[in-house]
Amino acid sequence: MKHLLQFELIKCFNRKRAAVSFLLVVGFVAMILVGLWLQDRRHGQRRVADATFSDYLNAPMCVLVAESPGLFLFLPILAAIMGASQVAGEWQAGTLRTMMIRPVSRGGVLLAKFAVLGVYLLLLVAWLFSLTFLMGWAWFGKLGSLIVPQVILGQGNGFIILPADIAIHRLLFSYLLAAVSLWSLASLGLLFGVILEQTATAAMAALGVYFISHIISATGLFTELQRYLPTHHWNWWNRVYVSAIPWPDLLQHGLWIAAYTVACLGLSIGLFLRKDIHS
Amino acid sequence: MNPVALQTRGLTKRYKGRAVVNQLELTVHAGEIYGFLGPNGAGKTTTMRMILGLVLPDEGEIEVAGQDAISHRLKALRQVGAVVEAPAFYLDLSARRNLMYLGGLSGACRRQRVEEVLELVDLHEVADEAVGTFSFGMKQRLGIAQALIPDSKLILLDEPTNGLDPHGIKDTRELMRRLCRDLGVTIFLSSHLLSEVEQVCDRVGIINQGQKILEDRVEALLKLEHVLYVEVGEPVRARELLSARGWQSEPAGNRNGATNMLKVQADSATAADVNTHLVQAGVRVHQLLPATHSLEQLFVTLTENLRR
Repeated sequence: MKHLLQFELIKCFNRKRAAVSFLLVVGFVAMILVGLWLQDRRHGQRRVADATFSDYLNAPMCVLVAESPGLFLFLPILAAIMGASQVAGEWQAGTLRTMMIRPVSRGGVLLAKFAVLGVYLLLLVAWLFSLTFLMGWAWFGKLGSLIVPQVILGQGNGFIILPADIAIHRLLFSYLLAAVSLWSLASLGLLFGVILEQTATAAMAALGVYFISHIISATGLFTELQRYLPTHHWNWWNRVYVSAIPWPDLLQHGLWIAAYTVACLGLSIGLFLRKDIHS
Repeated sequence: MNPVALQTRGLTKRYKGRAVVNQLELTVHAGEIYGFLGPNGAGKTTTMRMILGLVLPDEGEIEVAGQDAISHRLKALRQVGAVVEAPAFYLDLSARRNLMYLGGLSGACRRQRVEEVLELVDLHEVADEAVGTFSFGMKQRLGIAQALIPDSKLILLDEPTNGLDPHGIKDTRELMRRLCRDLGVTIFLSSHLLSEVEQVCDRVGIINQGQKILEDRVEALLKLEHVLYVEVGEPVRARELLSARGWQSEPAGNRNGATNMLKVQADSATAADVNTHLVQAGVRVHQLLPATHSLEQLFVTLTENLRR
């Protein structure tokens, strides 16, 4: 298993796809920082809570601003593609055949791929966090308190101000939870990859489920259904910015995410064990 | 006789109710080169995939070195190397790293062994280049190299000389002979190149429409001046009838699980007599082929007759 994990890591990080995803994060962060700089130039003196926008424009704020579009939209796309390509990509390239004629168990191969997806997504999220934080710090030259618009928590139009000493911890915690959600989404991509045997189709299917789930949540329809939607739980990372972290709520979301992930992985292994490899 | 390296019994695979491999019985002895022949779509690749655990059989048994390769796949594959269809590698990794990592999946992979096989297939000078830059022939040679890691006792090769230049083909043939002769490796070779099979194989099995129609030593097939291949409806009765007239016969293959093809010690001049004798006794004769000096002729005749 150790060798299998090592091999999967090498394969994952040697792909151009992995390098491109890390480069895309650089471009994304640069875009966010330029946007914040322009905002500061135009509306820097606008009052926000008890101070001005400029007063709150610091490294933690950059990390928070990058989080929503990054973790709602940008990284889920990468997670779905990487998840889908784990089996389907090798299927299409014929390398799955090269690998499976070796004495390795099919279940072991999928577990290794799943573990490597976790490592990849954790590193990608860590890269987004650290790059935004360091570049934001270098550009705006400040740390300090974090101002959180309550609108991202679905709690009206006010602001929550987190003091500097806890701001970084909350941001780190939030990004960590987001990495777990992305891992869960990637497991859905992995499942579709096993079923459909084509990366593009499998990624499309996983993203389809992700966005449809979001759309259903946003429309306010199917209220009875909402608690079962994966995105209802995958968005748990924004719950940590309230003054007192709702631990029971987080635990419940965590259990749902674990259940989704285990179901996707279990189903993937079950199907893969019975599948003829014709690639 | 050497111990059995590979054996299939009643091996069957169906797709949408159609049997692509049907009750296949193969026996490959340790240390021999076994040629596995058949026209396109005969079920050769599906058979190889079943042996390697890529495709799950619907019925039957597979044994590799006495080990049940279906229920103990990992154990059975530990000393098996294979190239199935076009070789596929991780294009961003170098040839050496591909071999190291793929070999490692079969257990401990020694760096020295990797260097040996790279030398053997003449890729040592480009071992650090990404496989994505390799030509098809180079990938084919790398495919053979990975099949040799670790020290495989049984190697399954599916069209291993595809895409190779004449030197590469010659080298591959010599390599197969050397592996078999010097290292005692058993080779299961699927090929369309009958001249190649004729030159390197000890025994051949011919399949068509998923069924074995003939299995014999190449030497015997090529020296058959007084042999007729007769496919009959009732092989046991046919053998008795032939024996009564002094024609010795033995089973030479199977269809539908029974041995229907007989190898009869009689020359082509007496073919009409054999036919008349069997038909008059009420035994249906499906085909009657005088043995030829070329495997190609025999292959074409056998598979074309069955196609009709």
